[in-house]
Amino acid sequence: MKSKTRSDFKKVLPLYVFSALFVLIPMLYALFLSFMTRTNTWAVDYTFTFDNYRELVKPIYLSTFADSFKLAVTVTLVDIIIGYPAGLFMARLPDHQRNFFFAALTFPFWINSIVRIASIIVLLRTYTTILYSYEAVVITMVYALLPFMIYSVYSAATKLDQSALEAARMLGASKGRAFLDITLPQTAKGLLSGVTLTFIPSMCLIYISDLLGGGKFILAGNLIENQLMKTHNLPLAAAISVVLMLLTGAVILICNRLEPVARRRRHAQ
Amino acid sequence: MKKKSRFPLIYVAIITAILYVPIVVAVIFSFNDSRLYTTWGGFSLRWYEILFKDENIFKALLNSVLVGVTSCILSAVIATAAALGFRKKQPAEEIVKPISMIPIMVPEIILGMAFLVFFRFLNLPFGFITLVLAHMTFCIPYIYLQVSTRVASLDIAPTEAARMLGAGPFKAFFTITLPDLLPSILSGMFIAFAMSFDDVIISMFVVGPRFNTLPIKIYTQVKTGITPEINALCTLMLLVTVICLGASRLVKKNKAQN
Repeated sequence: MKSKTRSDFKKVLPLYVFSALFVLIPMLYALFLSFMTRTNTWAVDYTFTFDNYRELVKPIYLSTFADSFKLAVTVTLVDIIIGYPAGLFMARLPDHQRNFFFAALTFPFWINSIVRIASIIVLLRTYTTILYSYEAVVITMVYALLPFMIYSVYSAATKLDQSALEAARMLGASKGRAFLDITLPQTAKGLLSGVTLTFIPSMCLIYISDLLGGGKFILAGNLIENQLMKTHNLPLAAAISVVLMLLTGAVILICNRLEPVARRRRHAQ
Repeated sequence: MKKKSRFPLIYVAIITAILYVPIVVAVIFSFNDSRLYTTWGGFSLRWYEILFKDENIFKALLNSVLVGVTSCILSAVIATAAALGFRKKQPAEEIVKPISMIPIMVPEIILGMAFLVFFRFLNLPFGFITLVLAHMTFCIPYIYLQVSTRVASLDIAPTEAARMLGAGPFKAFFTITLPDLLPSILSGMFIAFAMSFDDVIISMFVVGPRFNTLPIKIYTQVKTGITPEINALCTLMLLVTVICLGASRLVKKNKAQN
């Protein structure tokens, strides 16, 4: 039935057109722009150049990227240390408690993030002296991203093979041994997806560094913001985005690669 | 058997409680007569009064609702039609599907940048139109994900029977398919609306000089100085959220009973 197939294509056509026009083309245009020449303020001259990428190798950009990377690593590590056990523990709770905490963890996402951050600012200002410091940025970032880590680990841990764990313990494996051989490999996938969900936003949540760092701490994302909103250098902003995008892709790729490695460990035993 | 340790429960409870500290503090101090966070000046609704008199906040709120509702409705149409169309194999499906998911995969700052440069290139007036187009890009995947799982389990026999008995394609859609899909469409729209209503980073790059959204308005206000008005706003948002979540829960429950 040819006409039926065609009418089905009509149904997906709006999505095809919209995705092409407003997702694919803007991204490709930005990529194209990163190789163009900036003339003055907003203006762009369409002559090909590598200058924007050459600009990024300058120490000022390299050090910002390095600092942003370091902050993202710190935030991710703290979130793993706090969130990994929380996810595992949550999966072990009885059903009704599990559901309660799951709902409790997702609920804050429905409240405006800036409003929640405003409250943190006030708390830090009133009860501590660390507002507008590196620590303040890290703490707020950890707070904002922790639920993602807990959620990722939790959903992997609910599928954990409890009988294998009990068998291992019964056969005399120590708690540490059972954790390394069974729990860790089986929850590696959740842990790694938690890492991507915390690491990448840690370089991009520009309002946290803006509001809590007092403008002293610049994330990779802030570089893009500054080029767009202050200097109006569109090609350079596009080039920074391309680099950030590649970095994001690399993180996802590494996490995907690590997962089978963690899994294989278990079978090698 | 050894008695089960209570440590996991205590640990999870403490972490959850810490996550709620900023919210609880905001709610309590929204009723505090004093401007200070260190003293309790007695119960008062003055911050709510100030908030309600703030015309700029009100206008931004209205804009946010307008952008959210428009993006959600348009996205629901596109996403639902697509979910139905993808029951059959479509040309270039394996390319278009991932492209449509890009907006919920890549960092928002990169999307915001791409929209800013592209909309400038198109010479679109920044404001309502640019906000709706930008928000639609991430509303569509959220709604699509909800609807497509429902479509997969949809029984097509009633639709085919209706069509065979002479119902037009539109009549068949509105009397049979749509009622079946409605709960998943609505729950997708709730999620999409919440995302649109909370969006800061993408909106930052596509708002117009005369068209602000609420999160952007709050952001600029927090940048210049925080007043307890923000707490009142937080409490009200909390209330709206509870009502919305309750409503979506009710929609799902009703569906389950039918």
